[in-house]
Amino acid sequence: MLALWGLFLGVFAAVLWVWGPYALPPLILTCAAAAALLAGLVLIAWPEREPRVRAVPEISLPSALAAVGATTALYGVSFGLWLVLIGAGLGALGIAGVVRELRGELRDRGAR
Amino acid sequence: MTVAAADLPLAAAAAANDSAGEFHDLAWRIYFPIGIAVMVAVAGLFAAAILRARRRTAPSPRADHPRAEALYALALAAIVALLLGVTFAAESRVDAVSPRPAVTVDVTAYQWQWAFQYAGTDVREIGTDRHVPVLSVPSGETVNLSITSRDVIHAFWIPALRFKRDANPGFSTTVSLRFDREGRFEGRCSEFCGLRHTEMRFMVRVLSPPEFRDWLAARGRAAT
Amino acid sequence: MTGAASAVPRPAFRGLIGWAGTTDHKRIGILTGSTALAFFAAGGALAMVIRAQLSEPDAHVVSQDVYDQVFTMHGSTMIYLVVIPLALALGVYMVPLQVGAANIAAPRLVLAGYWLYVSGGIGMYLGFTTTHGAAKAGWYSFYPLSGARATPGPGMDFWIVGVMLALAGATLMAGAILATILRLRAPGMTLLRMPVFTWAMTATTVMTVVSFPVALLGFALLEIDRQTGGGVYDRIGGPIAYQNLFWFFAHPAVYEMFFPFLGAAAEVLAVFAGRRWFGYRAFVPSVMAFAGLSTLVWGHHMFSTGRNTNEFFALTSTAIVIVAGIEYFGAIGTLWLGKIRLTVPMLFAIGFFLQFLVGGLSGVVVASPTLDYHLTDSYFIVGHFHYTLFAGSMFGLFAALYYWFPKMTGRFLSERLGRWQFWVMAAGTNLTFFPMLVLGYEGMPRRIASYPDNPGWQALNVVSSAGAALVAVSMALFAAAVLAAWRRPSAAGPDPWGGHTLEWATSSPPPLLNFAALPPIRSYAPLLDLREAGGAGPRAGSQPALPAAGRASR
Repeated sequence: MLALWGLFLGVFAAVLWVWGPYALPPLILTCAAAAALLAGLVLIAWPEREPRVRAVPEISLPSALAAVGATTALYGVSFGLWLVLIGAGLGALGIAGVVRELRGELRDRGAR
Repeated sequence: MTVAAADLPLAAAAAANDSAGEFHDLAWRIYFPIGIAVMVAVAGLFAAAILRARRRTAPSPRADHPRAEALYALALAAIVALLLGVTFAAESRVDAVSPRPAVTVDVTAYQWQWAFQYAGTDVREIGTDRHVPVLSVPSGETVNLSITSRDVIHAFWIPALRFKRDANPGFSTTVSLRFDREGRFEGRCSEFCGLRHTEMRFMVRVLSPPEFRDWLAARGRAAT
Repeated sequence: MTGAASAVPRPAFRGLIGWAGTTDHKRIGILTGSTALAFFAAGGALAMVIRAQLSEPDAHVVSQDVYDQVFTMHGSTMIYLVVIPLALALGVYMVPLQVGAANIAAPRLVLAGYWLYVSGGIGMYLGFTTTHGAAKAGWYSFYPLSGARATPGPGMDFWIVGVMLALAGATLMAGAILATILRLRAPGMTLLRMPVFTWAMTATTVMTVVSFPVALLGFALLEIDRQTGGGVYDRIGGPIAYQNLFWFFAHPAVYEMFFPFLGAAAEVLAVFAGRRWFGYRAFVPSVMAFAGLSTLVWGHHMFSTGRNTNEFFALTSTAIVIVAGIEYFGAIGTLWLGKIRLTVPMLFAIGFFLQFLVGGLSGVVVASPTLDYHLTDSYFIVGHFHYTLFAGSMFGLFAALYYWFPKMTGRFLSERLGRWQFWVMAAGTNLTFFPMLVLGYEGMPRRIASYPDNPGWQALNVVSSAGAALVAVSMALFAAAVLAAWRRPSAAGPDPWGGHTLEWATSSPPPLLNFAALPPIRSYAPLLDLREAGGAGPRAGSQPALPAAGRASR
């Protein structure tokens, strides 16, 4: 489905290359079409595996923390290094937390 | 909306670069009537379907009707083709740039004023806080405008002419216009351009060709 | 079990922390939706300031500078922080239920996406606390007006970073919804048995993942340009390059704010017509082609720039008539052949189709470059897109809320208040936005704090402002309905409306992993199949008997 959709965009991208004198618009469109087409082909080539059990904890505060950390760091760009550092610290804590969760899940799966 | 149609500077025939006439014909003969008809038809169908369906005892199990759908899609495609046909024809006339205009004006927009420089002369009209700049043009003749900006994007809009074009920094865009009715018309910047966008206006003064030439000559003498 | 989540039992967190870190798609959906409604109140308040300022030709409710901040933040709030997140919130909540999954794919990413969105929104508003004020370059912040020279000050940087974060969050949510659709469907739920709403979300999320990254690129270049003292955009093509990058994202975004509500309104129409959606086999390809065309029309925002392939974009834009027309055909067919119950969700769904049509038809008008030369950047455009986004999407949203609120909370919203809200909102909407079409036609530009005292202009603006006040009243009525449901609950069963799709095959609200058992799925309306096969009346008040399709067997 994705691949078909990518093709649809691709056809129009080709038309736009021919139709107009400007390069940027068809370039963006071609990239978008290619991305959709590629994603579609990958999905076709990578068939659905046997239903996989994925255990996700009911609560994952670290995910939230990682996001807020990244955010703070980005705002720091206009406020100064100190905020970037605080944000990076929070983000690192969050990512560490997510990694810990993922390892826990792997262990659980191994144990089963 | 009929109120506004009345005070349009209507041109008798749709000649090249008669943007107001082109707009009027396209909008009031094609687009608005079709749009209003579709609106009325769909609203009517909804109302009829609701009244009809409330009387039903059980819903119909019919899932779809491919043939009706295909015919309907074809009808829509025909309407689209019609709209595009008339639009493209009108646009090619409005977009056509005359190689031999009666007068060429370089229009420069900047925060938050307009400057009009008459090509090949020393005549220049610049707006100030106390003076709304006036673009003087001859009636019935082709006027080329070369529109650009010195800072951010502005847009050159003459509502009475039903025409606007962006004033971009970095390059200029040339358009050919024709002003059929003598008089004074409002013009303004229509692309938001910062703090005093609201005040960024100009006037268009359409003179008879002899009057225009007299005015241009007088301004030229005054400038030198 | 298909894919996600058989949750690891953990000591259950309660209260705020339980919500803030939840990986349950239903909770994230509700969080996102309520946050968006809070931003909606803020954006609505800003709209009231605009309407107060414009109720006189030369009013001084706010200064010119503040006015610029107000309309910039109004537009940015409504688009980036309200309608896009609301559309995705509906998807995050409903899509896993409609395809019979236990949770959304990648719930942690969705949660992170929510927090990106919230912090982005807060950042955008923090701009008001800075010395130069909040962003004031319009919701599309064209370069070079949004550059460091024309708009100095951190408010603009806050805005750029905030919008990027909100869009990044939206992209994560959309990606997860799409992955759920592609990978986590219950056995038997083939693509062509997915409900209409899920198809609408498919169209939405496909467009999102393709177009939002382009916006992130565009905004990142803009911020780099500001921080490095300029030159980035000048090197790659200046204002035209910015507009191409921006609109390549922003036009699909407009349809992201439409499809989910179209899908919701279509579900509501079908359920309260007591029959399946008419013309499903036409709906599916048309909504996907619709999404394709939506990705191909961005240049129609650039007709008047002088450097744009106008005919191509006029062609793609006008061709949308065909695909949109097919959805309307389905709506009329569904009503025509159904047995209608005019409940509040149904009223809003019908309102959605009719009100949106005004926006759609005025859109056909401005898809013609010749007409757009006059109408672009005028109040005609403002009226046009408010008819699509407010009169369209928000009516669809309330159809969805009145329809799904019982599912999400187990309680009904008041029908009486809902009817009042509908009629007040319909009157207010048309009073507010129709005068704008006329004003724009007559030459009133957008984004001006005062206007010449031309004949009729003030009257039209006063009507518009009065309409806006009515819209505010209708929102208060909705708040009252929610409050009433909270204070004096009226319990809704698992399937109070006689629904067609899987979300009605579980309790209200659904349990943590959504389903104890799933009915067989043989079409896009599995519960309707059951009812028709079982000969039960069209209004089965209780949960249909579900053949055992236990989780173990999946």
